[in-house]
Amino acid sequence: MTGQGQTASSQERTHGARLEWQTAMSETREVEREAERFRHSLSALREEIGRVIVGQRVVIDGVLTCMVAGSHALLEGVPGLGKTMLVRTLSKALGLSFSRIQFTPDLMPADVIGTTVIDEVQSGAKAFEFRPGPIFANIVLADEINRATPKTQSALLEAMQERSVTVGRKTHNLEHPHLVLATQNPLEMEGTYPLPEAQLDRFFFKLNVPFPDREDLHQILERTTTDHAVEPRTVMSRQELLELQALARKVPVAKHVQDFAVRLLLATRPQHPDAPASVRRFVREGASPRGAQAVLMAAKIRALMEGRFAAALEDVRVSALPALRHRVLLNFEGEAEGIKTDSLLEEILKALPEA
Amino acid sequence: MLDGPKSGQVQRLFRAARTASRRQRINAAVRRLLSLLPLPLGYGALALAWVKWAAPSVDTPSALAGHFRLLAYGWVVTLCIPLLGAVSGWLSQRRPQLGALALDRHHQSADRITSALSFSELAADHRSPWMEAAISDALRTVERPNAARAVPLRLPRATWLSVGLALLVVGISRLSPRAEPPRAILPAPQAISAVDLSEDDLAALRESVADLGAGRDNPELSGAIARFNQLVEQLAEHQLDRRQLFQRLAELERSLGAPSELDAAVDAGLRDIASELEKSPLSRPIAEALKQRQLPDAERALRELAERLTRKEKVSDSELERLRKALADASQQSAGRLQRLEEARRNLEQEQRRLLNKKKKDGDAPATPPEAAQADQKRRLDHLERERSEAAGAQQELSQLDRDLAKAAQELMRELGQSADSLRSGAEDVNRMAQKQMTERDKQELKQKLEELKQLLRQGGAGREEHLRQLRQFSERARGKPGGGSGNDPQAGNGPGGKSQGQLVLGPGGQRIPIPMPQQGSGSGGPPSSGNGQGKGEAGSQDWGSGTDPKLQGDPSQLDGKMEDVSAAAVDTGQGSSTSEVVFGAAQRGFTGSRYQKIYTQYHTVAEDVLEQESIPAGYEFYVRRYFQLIRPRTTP
Repeated sequence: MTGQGQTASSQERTHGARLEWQTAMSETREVEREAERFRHSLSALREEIGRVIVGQRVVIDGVLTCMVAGSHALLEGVPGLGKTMLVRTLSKALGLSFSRIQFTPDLMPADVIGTTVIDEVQSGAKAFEFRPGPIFANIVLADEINRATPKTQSALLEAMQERSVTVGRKTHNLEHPHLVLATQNPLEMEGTYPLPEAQLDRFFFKLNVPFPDREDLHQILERTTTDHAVEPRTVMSRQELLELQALARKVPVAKHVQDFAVRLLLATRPQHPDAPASVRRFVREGASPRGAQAVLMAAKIRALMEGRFAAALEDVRVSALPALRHRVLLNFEGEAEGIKTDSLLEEILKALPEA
Repeated sequence: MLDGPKSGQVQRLFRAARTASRRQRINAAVRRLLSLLPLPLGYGALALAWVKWAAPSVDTPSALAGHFRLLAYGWVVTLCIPLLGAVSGWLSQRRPQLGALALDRHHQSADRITSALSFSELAADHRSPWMEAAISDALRTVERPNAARAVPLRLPRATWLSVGLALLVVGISRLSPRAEPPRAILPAPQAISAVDLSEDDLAALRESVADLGAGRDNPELSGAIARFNQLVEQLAEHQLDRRQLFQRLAELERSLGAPSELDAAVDAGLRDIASELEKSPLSRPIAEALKQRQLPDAERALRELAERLTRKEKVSDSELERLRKALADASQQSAGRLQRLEEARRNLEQEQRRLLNKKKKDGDAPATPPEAAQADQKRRLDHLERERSEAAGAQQELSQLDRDLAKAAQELMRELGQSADSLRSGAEDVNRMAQKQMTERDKQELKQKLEELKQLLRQGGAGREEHLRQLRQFSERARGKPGGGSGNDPQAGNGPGGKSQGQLVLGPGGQRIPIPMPQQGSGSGGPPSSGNGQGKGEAGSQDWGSGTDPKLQGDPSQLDGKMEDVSAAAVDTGQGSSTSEVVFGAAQRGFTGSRYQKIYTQYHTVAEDVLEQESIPAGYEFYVRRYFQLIRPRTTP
């Protein structure tokens, strides 16, 4: 009796374990499928963008990362490098609404977020009606954002952060996904209003748009000077994009990777004992915790893009520059010496031990 | 921890990660060890080289052992440095993920292994499907983790330096040590018991010869003084023992020579000349000076006489005649004395020959002239011979003066001026003799100093203790305690309570000598050199000592010595301080003050008179003079 009972119990346990294992295996396969779909979707999106935009792989990946992270990007580069084209292409490929705001000094907040007007209803009565501004698109291109006054900049940046707009006494939520891609020209500084540090922190990435190389220039000329115009197709729905955004947040991060990101963040702060000498000398203020969040989120997305299921140290390293370069503020000496935050961050990454 | 079929594979990953981590720690330890190993190896090479080539030169085995000990300590310390480095290297690689990260790097798995191991350490219900997927992904990506390839054991570059130094150490150790040439063993310098004189004594000796030879151009005397000063400096440097010092003193004394007998003959000759010159009133001052051996005065008198003759003062012819006669007789005195001595010697020789002939004629008959008479004859002959020799020397010494006097006598009646010149020439002769006399006096004074030094040394030498004992006995007797109450210990039974001497003064060689003080009272007991028993005085008690001297002889109350009561009374004017008060006050003020100077002069004069008149040992003369020198009046304290 006892022996038969024990055997039965053992068999039950074995059966239970097998069921658990089978369940786990099925979940793992499901995860693997989701990850594969993510990679496939992003690859398709990247290819579609690539049909229009020549080169700029890093910028495209950065913009896609911001899009998956559900955050905003600041593109910095000289005019004519295809920034507007990139954003327009992205919106078309995603089938999302797109609006472009050219920032000028006389631009008013209402021009960005919208305004309330008196309108006549069907009964003939007159009522206030809110006319949403360009900010209410899924993808907003804020061109030359540093040319607007701080007041207008603040209105945009508040909408970016809160994902809602309050006009009068009514709050209007922005539709998900909502992605603001702001551009600014690093050369023309006259008549501009540089973004304050607090506003800069709201951008997930700051992407430097490089000048295309010789090959890319050839391709650009061939595509833009002939009658063969390429029109981007929609390869991803809005719903798919929201799923990808949710998926990216599920990617686990091992302890050592997270610790690396934390140490990286602390090393950017001149007050911290682990900060290198160059940071202590040239940095006025290091990155905020929002910076570490951006780094880690970007690392997760990159791991997914690379076909992995967990973020790695390399993902953190790659994400560190676009996520932190606008969050590390140089002091006067650093500015005077012409120090680049990118070089400071590279120095930190080089010196930071892996574990 | 992970369960199920994947657990075995994950365990394999864990093992590989641990192995990789261990290899990393080994690498780190070896790297630190080998990078620091040149330190002890280099030190060892140098130390070994020193042992091979320099150690044989070390003088003593104890010094060599000390050097070896120092080298060993240094080697242990330098050896500890790489060992500590190795330990720190081993401990520095303790973080658990390092091995897994090394595997990831080797397999280019982008942290899959590290993340999988990290996730697998979580509890099952904390692991998400994404974590399970990450673990499965890691297992798929890295099927065979290879820790050996991921972390190869490598020798650092500094290994070759260590190997080179190790070879150097081996090479040096195989070399034969340098042969040290046999060292000449020098005999140990003999320690001399140098004569030790106090600074006061040395200062007194230096000062004593300071004035000697001044103004006299005599190289012999100057050399002797220089040698004496050198001797004193060597004594100050403690370079001479007693034997060497006495040898040097004897040599110095010999160099000064014995008191010349010739001087006595010259003195006699001068006295003869004086006796003749005395006969003339004009030459009487010269005679007086010559009689008293005051040659400078005689020279002066001769010059004055010459001046008088030059000035042709009114001198009667009879006076001139007497002077001429006196000068002529004086000039012949030396020759006449020599003739007399020669004649006496010839007479004695004739007498001796006569006695010898008579002896031969008498044959075996009893000797009429006894042997004693013959010996007496010979003694007299020798004496005369010696006198003749001295007279000859004196005549040679005085011959120039004789000639000058004779010439002056001859020219006196004819030409007074020329006679005066001859007298001046005679004065020059006398001056020369006076210089010689003074040099001789300095020599004798230097010899006197040498004798004083000898006395000083004798008192500080073997007989010093006995001398001190005598001094103590003397002091006790002076206090009215005639030797009683003391047996073997001369101090036992002294004074009230057996107290020691009341006051000490410096004796010979700085030795303290007790001087009786009135307040010490007097002892009781037998007479001098008498008594039997031990002194019973106890230190600290107020009782007198008792007992008798074992050598007690005679009646202690019988005093055979002649006694004379001497009393001195001074005129008490009732003004100023008493002499003792003046001396006491001057001593406190540093021997200054006009009253003290007056008193000092009185005492010093008396002391000098006594020293000259009485026969006092030379050593004591020195101390008396030294004492007065020390307490001499000073202008400033």
